[in-house]
Amino acid sequence: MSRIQQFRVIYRKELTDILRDRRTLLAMILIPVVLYPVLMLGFVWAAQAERASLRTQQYTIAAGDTVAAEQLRELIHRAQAARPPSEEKRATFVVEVQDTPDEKLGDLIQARVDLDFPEGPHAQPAVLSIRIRYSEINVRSRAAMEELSHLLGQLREVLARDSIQELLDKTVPSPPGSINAQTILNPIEITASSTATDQQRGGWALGQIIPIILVLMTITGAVYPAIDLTAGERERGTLETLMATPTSPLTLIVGKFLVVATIGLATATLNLASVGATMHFGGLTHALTSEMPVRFPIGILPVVLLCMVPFALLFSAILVAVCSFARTFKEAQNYVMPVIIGALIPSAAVTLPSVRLEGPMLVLPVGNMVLLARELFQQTCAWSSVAVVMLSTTLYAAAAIALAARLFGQEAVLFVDVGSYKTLIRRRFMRPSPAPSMSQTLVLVALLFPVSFYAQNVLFGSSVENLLHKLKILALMQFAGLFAILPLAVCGYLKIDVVNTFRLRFPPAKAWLGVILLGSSSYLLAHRFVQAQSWLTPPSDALRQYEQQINAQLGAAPLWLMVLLLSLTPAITEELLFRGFLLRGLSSGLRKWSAIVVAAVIFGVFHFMVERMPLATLLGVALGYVCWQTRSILPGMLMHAMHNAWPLVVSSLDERVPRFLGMVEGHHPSGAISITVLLGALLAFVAGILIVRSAARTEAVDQDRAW
Amino acid sequence: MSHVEVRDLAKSFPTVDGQEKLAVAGISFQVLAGEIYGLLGPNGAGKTTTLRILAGLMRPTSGQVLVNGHDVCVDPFSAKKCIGFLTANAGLYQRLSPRELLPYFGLLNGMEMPLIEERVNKLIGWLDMDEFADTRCGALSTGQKQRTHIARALIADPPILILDEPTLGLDVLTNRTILDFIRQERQLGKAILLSTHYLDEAERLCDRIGLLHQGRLIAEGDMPALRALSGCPRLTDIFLKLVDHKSEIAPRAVEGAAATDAPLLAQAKPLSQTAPSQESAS
Repeated sequence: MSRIQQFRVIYRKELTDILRDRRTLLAMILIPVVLYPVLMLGFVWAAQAERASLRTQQYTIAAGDTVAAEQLRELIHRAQAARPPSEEKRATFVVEVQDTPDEKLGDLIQARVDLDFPEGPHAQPAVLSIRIRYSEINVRSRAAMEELSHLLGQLREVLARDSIQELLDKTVPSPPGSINAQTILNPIEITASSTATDQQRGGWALGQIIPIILVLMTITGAVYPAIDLTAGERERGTLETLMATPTSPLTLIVGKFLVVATIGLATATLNLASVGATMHFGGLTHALTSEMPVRFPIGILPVVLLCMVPFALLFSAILVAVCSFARTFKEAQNYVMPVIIGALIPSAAVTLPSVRLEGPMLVLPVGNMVLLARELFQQTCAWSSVAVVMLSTTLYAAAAIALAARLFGQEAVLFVDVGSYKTLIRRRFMRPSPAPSMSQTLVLVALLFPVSFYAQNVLFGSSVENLLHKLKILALMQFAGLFAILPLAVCGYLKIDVVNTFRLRFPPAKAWLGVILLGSSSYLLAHRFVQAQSWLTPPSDALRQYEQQINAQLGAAPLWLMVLLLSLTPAITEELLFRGFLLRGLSSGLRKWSAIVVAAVIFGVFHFMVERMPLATLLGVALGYVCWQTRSILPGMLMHAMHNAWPLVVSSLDERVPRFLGMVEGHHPSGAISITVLLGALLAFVAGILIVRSAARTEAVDQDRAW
Repeated sequence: MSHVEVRDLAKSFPTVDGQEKLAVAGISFQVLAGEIYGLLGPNGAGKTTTLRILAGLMRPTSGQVLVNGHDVCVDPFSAKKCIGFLTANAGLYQRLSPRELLPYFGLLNGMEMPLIEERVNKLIGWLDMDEFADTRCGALSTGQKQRTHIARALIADPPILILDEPTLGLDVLTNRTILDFIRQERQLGKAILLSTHYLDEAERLCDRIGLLHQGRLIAEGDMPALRALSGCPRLTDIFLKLVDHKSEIAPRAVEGAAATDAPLLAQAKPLSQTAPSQESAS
């Protein structure tokens, strides 16, 4: 056999072998044929949609005084009237009288316009000078400038045409020197100047590039150790000996996960340092910015790196979880590829300039970190957003780690020769268990979190119109569907004891007395707490307005419906999810107070608005304690319902009291609760706690093991 | 007294066609302190699965395993503390030397550093590991790796040793070192459960032997008892004779037996009672 023939034999055998591997086919066909076109078309579509949206929005323009504002409105009106009827719908403008300083141009006021009429507003032909101030680093501000320039440009053309026509129509020629051709052809002079400082421009430029580099570098650094420490360990045969030591899978996986996160972060840091140093010392900055003066806010870099820590933790946790599922190095590599693509899609999607860190973007895994880093560079982010991003990322990371720990110890994953993944997912292979595990709990809650957040955002957004109708949908969809039916269904599928998990049992009689005292006093204390909080961090005007709108809408609704929607439904369903499923699951891995506090913090985070989180967390601690002590979900439900019903009932007696316990009623007349009443409430609360505490002692000790 | 007690242990695995494959079909035996118990059987008899369950790496489908009184399912942490587990075909951390690897496992077993150092030095001396103790495991020969494995299993000085194929693929000299070492551990009063394919070796080394075939314990006892039962002098012949006799009555797979325990136990009972020397074992 000649060497060529040998090549051919080997080639044929290897090709047959490799094409029979479905994963090769998947990587070879699916990714190029489906993924890239979908990604690219998606990106182009999104960019076009963004441009189209910016061209039709309403922009707010500031004018220095009433006269200027009126003149500008008149100009805009004339320009819009002069528009060709065939032209598609374009942006509209609201002119406000405000002396907006340069640095305030952006989200609320997009541009400022100064007009200069040398000979009065209607003097024709004379050069009318319009100076537009805008911020080039704010996409809406830039769009406002472009749209306004476009509109006034059209007016300029119309005016020029009219002037020429007027000249042509004149039967008597004008005296020489009375007509200036320049002013006829160019009756309006539009100049636009950006207010962005060099530093803002630098921050904007960095914010566009650096976050995605950091994400890529963290991924690059973390992937290899994640595979090596999990699937690699299994493939080398060292995992079995490791699992035989008296160490819990969670301990092992956390140790490994921290290594992966450290290496991911170190890679990101070194890359960032290298990029920074090359730009600074290698003259790259100078070469890139010689046309446009830019100053990079280098001081932000450490803050951005710090914010990358949760991302590194989250991504490492996901990688470790995914690789824990793999039994060989190659299998892990195959699993990792979709994860990387899954991380890059949101990272790329949020690079569209108009995507801001707000609404659903706050809880979009990975995407929210990229946006946060970008907004930190651009110095446009609110601290409440930082909190939501950090908390949601931490929740996802914890769920991923819990899942990794669960997979890591599974025999189906541990032993290639005997295991089957079916044992992990098919119901018939599952053993009945008395309560959910910590990983099952955290994974469900981590999935519920963004879904619930999106549901609320879609439903409410920034408007509270038809609030009652929306509350009914919320009660059905979020509370009944997500918080109650879903965990119950999960328990049913996983063969988890529903009665034990949700603590569906009657508590001792005195527990009821305790929670009646707690439920009747907690609202008054909460009210005082909200007052103190709003004194420390005064609520924004927007929030105040929002809550007043809510209260205005709720005021008209019948009391029974309000009690049903705002008191009973959340009380029953939230208790089922947070004190039933969540607290029970956490208690399988945490001690009493750790479990109560973690469940309460998650309960707080689920209230989504940062201003409401402290109070919700405190209430969560009290409800968690009640549930733990009484070993029943029912007293907590009563306490929760009473707490929520308080403002509803009192407001039906005194109309000054708002129905909605938000952040601003501290400023309401009802804020004046006498000190005697407060002291009484405090005493009742303490007495309630003591009674609930003693209720546990009367219980049989035989249930202790379950807790 | 340290010992292992296995009661009606059964383990089944799901197969690709949705059936249940019974790997261990209800076995019971005990390993006492100061004895070497040999668990012997052909490939696929269920030896490794049994040992993995004993080491807390797998959950049994039914039955119970007590290690020094600790149930491996209920309290795996305490059970694992009592066990030194040596797996067949296990790997070592290629980029660590034995002197780095042994303390790692000592720490995972909850030992203090001074004690670990003392123990590491002792094991290196006993197992003749001086010349390669500082070489990375990736560069060690098969025999050196196996000695490192044994040192790793013994680092915490556990009262119970579970050794799966401890002499697989070793040369005569290393083989002798390791067998001598196992005997020495027996002298120290440890309960040793050993699985091997080398029947001659088992005959010389084990105090009692359990013959496992198709997931069932088809015979159990010391060599005289097994000889009396089969009428054959050598363990190889005893094994072949008993296996030929039993293979007809033990179905390999139980069709449709999902996760229910009852059929497994029902089958396991009479078979585990066939072991001839139950009394000597208890």
